[in-house]
Amino acid sequence: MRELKKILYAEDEPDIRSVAEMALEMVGEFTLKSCENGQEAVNAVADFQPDLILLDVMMPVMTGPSALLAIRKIPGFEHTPVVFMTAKVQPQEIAEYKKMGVLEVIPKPFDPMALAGNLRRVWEKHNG
Amino acid sequence: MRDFKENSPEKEPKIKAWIDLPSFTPWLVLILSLFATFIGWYIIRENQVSQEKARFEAEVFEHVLAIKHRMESYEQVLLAGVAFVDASNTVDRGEWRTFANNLHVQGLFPGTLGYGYAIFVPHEKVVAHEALMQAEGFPGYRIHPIDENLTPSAIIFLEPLNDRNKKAIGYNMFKEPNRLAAMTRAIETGNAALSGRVTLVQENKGPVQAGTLMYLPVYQKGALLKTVEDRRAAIIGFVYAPLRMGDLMQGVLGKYEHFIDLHIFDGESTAEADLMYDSDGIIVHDKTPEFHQQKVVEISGRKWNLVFKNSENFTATVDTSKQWLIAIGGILVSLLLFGFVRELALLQNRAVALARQMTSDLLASESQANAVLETALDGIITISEQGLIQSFNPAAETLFGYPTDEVLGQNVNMLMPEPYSSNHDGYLFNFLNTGHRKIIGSGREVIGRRKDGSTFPMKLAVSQDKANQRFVGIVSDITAEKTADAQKELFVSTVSHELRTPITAISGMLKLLLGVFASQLPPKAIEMLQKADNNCNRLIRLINDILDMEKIAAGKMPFHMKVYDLVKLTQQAIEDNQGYADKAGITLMFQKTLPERAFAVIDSDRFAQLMANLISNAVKFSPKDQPVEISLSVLGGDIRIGVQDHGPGIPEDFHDKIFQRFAQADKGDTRKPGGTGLGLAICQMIVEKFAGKINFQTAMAVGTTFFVTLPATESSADPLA
Repeated sequence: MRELKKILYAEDEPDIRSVAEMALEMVGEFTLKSCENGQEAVNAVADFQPDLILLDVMMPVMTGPSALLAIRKIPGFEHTPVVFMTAKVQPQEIAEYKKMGVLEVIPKPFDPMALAGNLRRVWEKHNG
Repeated sequence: MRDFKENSPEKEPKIKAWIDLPSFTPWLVLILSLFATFIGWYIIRENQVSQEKARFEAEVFEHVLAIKHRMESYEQVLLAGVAFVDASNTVDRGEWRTFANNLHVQGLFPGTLGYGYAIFVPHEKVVAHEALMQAEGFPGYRIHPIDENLTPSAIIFLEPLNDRNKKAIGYNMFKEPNRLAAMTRAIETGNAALSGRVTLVQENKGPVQAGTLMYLPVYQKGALLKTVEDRRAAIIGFVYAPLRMGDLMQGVLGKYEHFIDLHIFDGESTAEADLMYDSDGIIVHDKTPEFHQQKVVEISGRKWNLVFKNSENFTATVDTSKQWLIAIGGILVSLLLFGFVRELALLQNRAVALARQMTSDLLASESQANAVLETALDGIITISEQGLIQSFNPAAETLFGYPTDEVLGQNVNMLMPEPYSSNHDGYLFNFLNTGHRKIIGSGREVIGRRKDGSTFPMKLAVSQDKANQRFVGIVSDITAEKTADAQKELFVSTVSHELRTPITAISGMLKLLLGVFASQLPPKAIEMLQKADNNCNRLIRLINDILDMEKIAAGKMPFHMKVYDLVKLTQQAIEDNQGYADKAGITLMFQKTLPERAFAVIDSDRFAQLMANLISNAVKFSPKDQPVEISLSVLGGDIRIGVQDHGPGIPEDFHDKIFQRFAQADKGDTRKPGGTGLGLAICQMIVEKFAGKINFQTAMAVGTTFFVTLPATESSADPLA
């Protein structure tokens, strides 16, 4: 199984984005492409070719779920693992996201020291 | 409320009795019945009377015959005498006596005072005759009275020759008008002739009885008797008998003497002067007799008026029992009938009055019920088993925007949006046939559709009215609540997001500092960062707890209640919280011997939350190197989980506040950081949702044990965990 290398990340809150960036680059040592909203993430997919996509749910311009749907339409990325992060963790919503094909929903606040490990687990589960 | 069946509660209820009896009916019945009784009595009486009358008349007939026969027999006796005289050449006294004695006249013919023979003595022969008679033993014998114009007659024989009769010898009967008339008649007819009423010469002692004399003519032997002249010329004398009526008629009535009163009058009169015989001795009675018959008979050429009347004894024998039986019986029956019919009428009146009262009560209560429907704020709709709307109250009209007449008889699914509208018939059919409920009994939140097509959330409670084969639905518009709920939910959701966003950043930064840059930081900085991190964690927990509580309280926290093996779940919880305990240096110990079977219906996530709270509390309050013991046992139908610490215990004055929000025991410096103050409140809420109980045991300076008791399930379903 290939290692998880490239992660595409979208989050509109700058400070949270900084925390996640540090968690993924410094702690997780991933190659990260960071975006401000869903639309940017969709645009970056083809060029960046991520292994895994981490999206915040509530974002302006395009939300996480909308971005997911759009990404799925990109050829070659129909099955790329997608993980959501959100402060709103209604179980019904989580179920909805899972139905959409999201592999995991990470609640906010998140532990930045555990983030990399969580994503790796998801990756392994997805590929195993 | 306009019902499908029209009602007019304003009209007086028309109550029809089974038979409408006017109030005088009992009296009418009584009168008719008494009248019938009277008629019956009268008929029987008349019947009785006519029977008695017939009896009487038959008797009378018999008596008349008897009287006639009797008199005829007396004629015969005299005829014998005539025959005797005729047969003899001469008749002397001695022969006459013998003859009379042989006839036993007195004995056989009562009332006969004598049996006599009188002859005509021509004027010229009178003196010689008298001399002869004197010589025979009648000194002083004279024919008396003598009428110059009439041929004298004299009684020469009269047996028995007692004192009484002796006086009659020589008497010229031909002078006395009554006797003359009879004698003349006898001469002229040649038959027996009875005289009119006389007082007999002989009568001089004893009660006076009326009398009469019977004459039979004696003619010359061999004389021509063709004409009256012949007979007048040929007459020589008479055989005669004076008759005393009383004795004569004695016993003529025989055994009926007491029942019939007979008066015999001379001639056709009924005057007392002409009374010849009175059977009971009473001439005029006080009482008018019931029966009365008069028969005029001819006795030996003389008319007698026989007046028969029934005596009181006669009527006494009449059997009136039948009449009185009928009368009394009839009266009783009439009274009974009267009473019965009256009762019937009274009962009916009471029944009608009762029916009226009940109907008016019913109408009153109906109108009260109607008032409820009219004024209720909730919509009340009834539908038939086919789903057709039968009633629609004013509130429903307002709610859905339809006037009642537009919905009556329509299918209720017109009030629902799709897809419910199309499915409703199916649901109804399903329920009626299988009893499977989709909506019956519970209050459910559904969507209603108004006339203008708009939809709104509503609370619907449906019940089944089996007796009337319909369903009753109560509908209330919960748009406002929904809005409020929605607003609240939106608020909570927004708040949670808004709070969590900055905290994510803060928490993240702190953790990164501690995790990535620790080596570059002075110890003091690290210490400070750690404190900040702890507080941040606490804040996060607080926010989570608050939001959890809100969710649970609003019923928004989903509880997926399924059968779980609590042993496994408790084990899992201990493992999950091990990390936290380790950090605090506390050992978590699970009971060694565990029950084989401890299944309960719970939500696994909430159970985990519950256990996490209890364990973290125990850890928080445990002194280092003291373990926290978790126990699990099955008692009766319950599973009991205990979490025990060896901490300071809970003070008495806190016992009743322990499950309240934000209540924390210690106010002093022994305050243990990290608690949100909501943990036990949340535990209680969760336990209550599990239909269980939570309580604790504590002893100061010894420790505290929290117990969660949950109902065990006997469900045969395999537990999910």
